[in-house]
Amino acid sequence: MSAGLADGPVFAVSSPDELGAGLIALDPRYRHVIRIMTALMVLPAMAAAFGVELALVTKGLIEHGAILAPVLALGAFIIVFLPQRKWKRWGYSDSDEQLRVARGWLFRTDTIVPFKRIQHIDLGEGPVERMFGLASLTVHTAGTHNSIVTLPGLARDRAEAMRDAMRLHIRREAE
Amino acid sequence: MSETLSAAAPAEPETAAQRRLHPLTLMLNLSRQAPQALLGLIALRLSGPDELRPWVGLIALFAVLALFGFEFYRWWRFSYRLEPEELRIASGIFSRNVRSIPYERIQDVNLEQGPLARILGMAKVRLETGSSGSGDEGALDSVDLAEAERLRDVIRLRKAQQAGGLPSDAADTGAEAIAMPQADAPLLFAMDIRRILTAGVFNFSLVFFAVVGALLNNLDFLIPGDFWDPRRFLDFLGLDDLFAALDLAARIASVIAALVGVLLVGLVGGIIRTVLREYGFRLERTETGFRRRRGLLTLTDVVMPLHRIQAAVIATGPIRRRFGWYELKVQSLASDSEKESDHSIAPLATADELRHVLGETRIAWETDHSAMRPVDPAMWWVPLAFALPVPILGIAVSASLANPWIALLLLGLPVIPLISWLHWRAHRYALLGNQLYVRDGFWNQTLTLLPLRRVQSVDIRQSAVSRYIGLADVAIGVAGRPSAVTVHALPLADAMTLRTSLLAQG
Repeated sequence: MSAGLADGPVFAVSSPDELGAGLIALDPRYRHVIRIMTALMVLPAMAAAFGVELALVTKGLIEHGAILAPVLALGAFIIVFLPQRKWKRWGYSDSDEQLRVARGWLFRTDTIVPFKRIQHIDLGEGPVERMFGLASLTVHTAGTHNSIVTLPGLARDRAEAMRDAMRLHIRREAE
Repeated sequence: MSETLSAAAPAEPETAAQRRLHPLTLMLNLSRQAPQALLGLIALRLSGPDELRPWVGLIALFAVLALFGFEFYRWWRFSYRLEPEELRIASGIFSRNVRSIPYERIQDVNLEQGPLARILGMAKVRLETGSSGSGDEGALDSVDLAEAERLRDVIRLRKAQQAGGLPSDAADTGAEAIAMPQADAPLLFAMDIRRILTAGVFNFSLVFFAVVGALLNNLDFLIPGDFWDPRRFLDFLGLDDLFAALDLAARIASVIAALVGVLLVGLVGGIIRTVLREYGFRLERTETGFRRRRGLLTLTDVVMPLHRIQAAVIATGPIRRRFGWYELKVQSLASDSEKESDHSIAPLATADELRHVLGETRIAWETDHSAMRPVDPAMWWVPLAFALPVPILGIAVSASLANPWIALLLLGLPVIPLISWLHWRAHRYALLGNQLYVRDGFWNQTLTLLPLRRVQSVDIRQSAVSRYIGLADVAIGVAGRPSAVTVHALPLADAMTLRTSLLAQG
């Protein structure tokens, strides 16, 4: 499992400090997953905005584009640029028999779970993730806080390799 | 299927028999539901639709019969059986459910006796398994007290056999051998009535007002609409003229008297609550862990295996600390009663008594406030920079719009930084001898003692603001504890060093 480290590009979070060191980026295809998931959330809102604009224009209250233009701009920003930024905030590492998951920007959390503390492991694939050959790894610890740590956006075979490496360390005695 | 199993194990006809709960359980369950049903009927009688009122007696009769039949059927359908390998509980009225709990998975066997159950000589048996659900994985509510104790002994013995691989026919000879040491287990800590009363004094509680409030809320329909109008009170007491005649000083005096009254009620409420809960407190050391018995009306008997204790918390307050009193709680994988997640194993003890109890748990208490490391002062002033402008602006705006006197509220604002500062001063940590010590709170002071071998996960957290200042929080996940053990406002480098050393020895 120690050989697993060199798979992804080692990167630093946008403000490179000592905390971001040693993290591996998620699979680049995960950006598309984020994009599609966000689009699914945003599109209904945009459709609603379009409807409202149409209704108001027919009543002669506003010009064309008064609502749609800002909404489109915002939507484009959310769908085109944000996924790249979101993807960059994620990072993980599985060296030293520890799973490390870093995420978030406004509230950044960097979690370490030693392999021997893992109770059980889930390997999950959403429909969108499956389209891109990705999987997410979820580990459960006995702690009430942090009882579930999820690492999305791993290539499927990579996720399976990590799971198998971790499984060796799970002790039967979960005292 | 269960018939074949019991036929296959004829060596234990006595333990494998299917048993039902104590018949008087019916009475207990009915008595629990009666008050609610009664209230409903009274409500119907007083404020229900007019056509229904004459029929209340008949409805009541039917309700009682239906309730009784239902409870009886439920009782009839509930049975348990001690199989050689596991305890089986069959329940369910419409959909049948048979639960199998292997003995080796049963962590604790706890007994609980409510006041009525004590009069009837019954007890509720609660089985704690390691599953993460609530405490009701297996509960026998209720059985004969002797049967409860027999169950506890049999389950413990079978569990020991399964763990140690003993042959199961040693059961009958071994039962006494296990049960006997339980009887005279060494006493670690007990509280006499004087100690309990002292604990009650520190347990100031306004629960009485809550109880009265809840009652009034339920009995709303009995109370006239203008009941809460103070003028009505004065009218009723014939005091309105008197009150009008009082001068300002007398009014202030009466307000102070009311406050003193509230304090007194709070004090008495705290004492009563504490006596009810802690009466006859005994903590014993059994061969696997602690056994705690307490309660005046509701008796509880809880066993805590030592190997399941995750962390200890020493709680005190500024006044209690002055008198040298501390409370010791342990955090265990099993949940206590539904209300608390901590097991209080010494509600009010001196430091020496507390060390004596702690000595059994392999958890040390070797440092306290003065020797521990403080955290960055940004912990108290940074949140204020965001939190204070809102009330200042709010007060200023309402003062200029409504009443200039509101501006006086600004004088109260320094209390917020003061509290924040006190919290910062109280928050300290130390890493000493394979243990993390974290201290919190200036009014409710807690000192968490966390052995590093119990660390499940470690977070380093930064918000955008704390990243800008270069600080971070370290949050440690511990099993059986609802929230993380958190050290706030550390310089990032310190946080990373702390995380490394926390994980190094786990």
